[in-house]
Amino acid sequence: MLEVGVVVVLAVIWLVYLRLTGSGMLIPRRRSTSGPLDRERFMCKIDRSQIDFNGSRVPGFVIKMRGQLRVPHNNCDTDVQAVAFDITEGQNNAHPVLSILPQWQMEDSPAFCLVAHNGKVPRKVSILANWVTIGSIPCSVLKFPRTGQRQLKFVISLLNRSNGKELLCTATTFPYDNREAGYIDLRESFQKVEGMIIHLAVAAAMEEEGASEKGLAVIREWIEAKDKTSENQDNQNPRLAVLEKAIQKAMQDDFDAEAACRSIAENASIVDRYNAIRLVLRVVAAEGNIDREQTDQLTLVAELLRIDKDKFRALAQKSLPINTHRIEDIRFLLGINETMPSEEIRRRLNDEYQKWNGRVTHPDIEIRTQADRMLGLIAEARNRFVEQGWKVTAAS
Amino acid sequence: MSVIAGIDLGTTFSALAILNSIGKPQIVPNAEGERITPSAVFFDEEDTNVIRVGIEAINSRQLNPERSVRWIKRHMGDRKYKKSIDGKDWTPEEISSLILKKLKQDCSRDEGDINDVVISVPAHFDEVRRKATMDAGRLAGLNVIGIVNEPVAAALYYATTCEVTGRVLVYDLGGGTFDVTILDVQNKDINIVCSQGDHALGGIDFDQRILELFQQAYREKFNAELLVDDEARAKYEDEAEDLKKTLSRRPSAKKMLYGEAGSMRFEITREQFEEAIAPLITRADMLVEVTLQEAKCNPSDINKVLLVGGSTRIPTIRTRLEEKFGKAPEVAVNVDECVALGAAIHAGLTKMREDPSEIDSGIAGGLRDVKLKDVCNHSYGTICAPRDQETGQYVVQNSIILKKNTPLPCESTQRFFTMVDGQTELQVTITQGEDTDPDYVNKIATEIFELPPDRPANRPIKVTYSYDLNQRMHCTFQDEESGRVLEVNFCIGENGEMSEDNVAHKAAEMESFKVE
Repeated sequence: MLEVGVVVVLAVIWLVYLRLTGSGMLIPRRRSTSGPLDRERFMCKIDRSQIDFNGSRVPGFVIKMRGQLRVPHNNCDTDVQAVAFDITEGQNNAHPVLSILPQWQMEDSPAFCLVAHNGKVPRKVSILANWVTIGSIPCSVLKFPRTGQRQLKFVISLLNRSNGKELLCTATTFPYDNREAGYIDLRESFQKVEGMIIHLAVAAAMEEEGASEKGLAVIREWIEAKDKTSENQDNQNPRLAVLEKAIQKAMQDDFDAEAACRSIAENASIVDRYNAIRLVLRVVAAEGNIDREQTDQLTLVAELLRIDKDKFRALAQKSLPINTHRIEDIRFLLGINETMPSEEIRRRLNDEYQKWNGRVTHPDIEIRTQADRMLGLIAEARNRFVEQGWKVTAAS
Repeated sequence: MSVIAGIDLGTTFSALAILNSIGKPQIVPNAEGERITPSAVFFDEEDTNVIRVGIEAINSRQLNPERSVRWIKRHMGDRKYKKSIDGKDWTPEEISSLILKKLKQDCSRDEGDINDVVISVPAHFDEVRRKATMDAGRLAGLNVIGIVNEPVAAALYYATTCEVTGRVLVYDLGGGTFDVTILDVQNKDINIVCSQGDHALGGIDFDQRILELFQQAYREKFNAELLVDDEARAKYEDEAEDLKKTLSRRPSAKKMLYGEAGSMRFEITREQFEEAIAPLITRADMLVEVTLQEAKCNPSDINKVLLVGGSTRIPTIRTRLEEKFGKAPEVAVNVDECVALGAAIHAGLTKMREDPSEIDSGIAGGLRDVKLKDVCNHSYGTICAPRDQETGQYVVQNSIILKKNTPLPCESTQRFFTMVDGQTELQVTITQGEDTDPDYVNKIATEIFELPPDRPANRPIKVTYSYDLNQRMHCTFQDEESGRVLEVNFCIGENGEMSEDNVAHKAAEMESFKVE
């Protein structure tokens, strides 16, 4: 039994080793020795130093190798290849290190891969006595899975240039403090934000008897569009699962929309914040017949998402045209309220007038009709709030 | 030498003026002896070869509204509008050409053939509507040498006939459109500062409010509808207009309303009328403020307010202007005629500029000192995709190239870049409007500009827009590397149904219709 156990353990170690090196083409190694023989072992190291990149000095990884090179025949033309992993979570949970520049990416993925021509190795067994630089990579070009203290592993291979077969392989590990957000962090944050946007949109779709079918259709359409553009097709199911969960939570009145908005505002990019308000507006528009309570909520959501007021009004005027409102809410549609000074209201109304007056001759009848109604509303608002201003200006 | 004329092709009335031998404009009365002609057309059912224009058309309208057309100017340039009469679909340009033909015909009777004309349009008319107006003139057999903005024409006449110096605001509230223009006048030297307009505000909107009051009163009394058919509508539209005019002269007015459920007396005071039109007056007020804002001036900077257009006879309009500017508005010129008179002066100036040998010395002498500097009436741009400063994303938007109220003639060039590698064509869109959102601007022309193949992205495209003294716009798109140029011409509709050939063909067709 013990023998079997030992064989299993050895087999596992061998498999892990193969996984990390990515090949079974290793040549048998000599037993590890110390002293002068160490210099014959094929080795690599990474120096951290300032390097030249695009005309400036930037922090970088300098990849070096040395030791004995064993090749199939004299004058064998070789390449050297470097790939990198993040093994912080263990060798079995290694994540690739990515490159943002195509010249240092694998052919079919953004994983970091440097290939350089190493030249002809003169004899079947040759020794590089000193450290030879394979390449220098700016730190900013590499993207790591997560932020914070990382354990990195660089694997260097000597390849036969004629057939691409690996002749030798070595690896080195070292710690690295990644100050930037990791790509997994970003993906998780993105998924979290996206999930919250879906929750928020479902909350906007809720009516007294449950979720509006038209509103949910808009959300499904949005998810579908996201799935089509998403690089990772695996996201498809999670998004729909989030939608189902969001519907359940909303039905149980177990969703804090304000907290969600705050969280989106803190975690999402500005683009996603605008995506969130656009989706919410579309969901509300789908059902139409908008009432005062909804316009108040929409205003609050926009505020919490830190959407620029003028941009929000432009979005709202476009997504929720005046004919979709049960009551023509002057405050929401024109962005004015009773507490504003009369002069500011007049200025705003004149701006709105100018905007909608320019649209009243639009070839599209829907826009023309909307413009005409908006002009009527602006006139009404002006009569209500600033009519006295006509004479005041005369006096001034 | 042919007669030089100016035509005010109005929403409710039109007028024609010619330049006399010393360059003074004068109205030519129509065949009925009237100085202005209703812009109304009636297709006679008895004699289908005869088309009645003017007062006869108004009189026939109530008998058969199906065969009558009024306020066609509001549809000018609208490619969807068609009036079907005896199997023929009449376009707004064709119908307008009938009105112009009547004016031309009546003028020729007394003054000889007129050829060279300038037709006035509202300042806010876009390129398509301007082109449609010119086409209407050509269909009527006129040589349209230019287009002039109505308030500019009015100001031209005002400045050349009255002693004026200073900053003038022209308040032009006509039958269907409203323009406010600010200009600086120094004797006969006229500089237009800016213009703003409301395409959907005019006398017919005031009439509409009275019509609504008729309906409301009738419903309250009889619980029945007054306007049961087109005949009734046509009748009461005319009655409403009549009542509005009465209220400009008297504090109250009365009408009998005859409907199917019974008849009733309708009485309305001027105050009630003013209350009914208050939202429209507020719109007019805002246009004044916006124009002042655009000209960067205060009411106190305006030396004179000049009234133009029949709707300025409404007393509340005059009162409000006096309140705003602290002085009574000027009615020194005939509000119904000054646009045609000014258009005739403009025609003379255009002829002097473009073909001086063709103009009589007396006319040239009369117009010698008149100088006009006009402005571009709209902002013109193109659709592009710049980066949004806040989000960093590419957004499709309208980028303005030629800004509204730039003095004429003007030209502006901007450089844009292709977006993708190997881009072999560029969809160029000419827009008119101030909005950055492309959905809200008027796309007045769209064409494909073919580019050389196999080039990387970011190739520069030079876009040049210019606006000439005749209020017409020209656009060129130039691929800077290859030198290829695309010139964009404006015509109505994607299919070019009013191309040069089309106009010539239709003009020949229109000749067969007799107008009376």
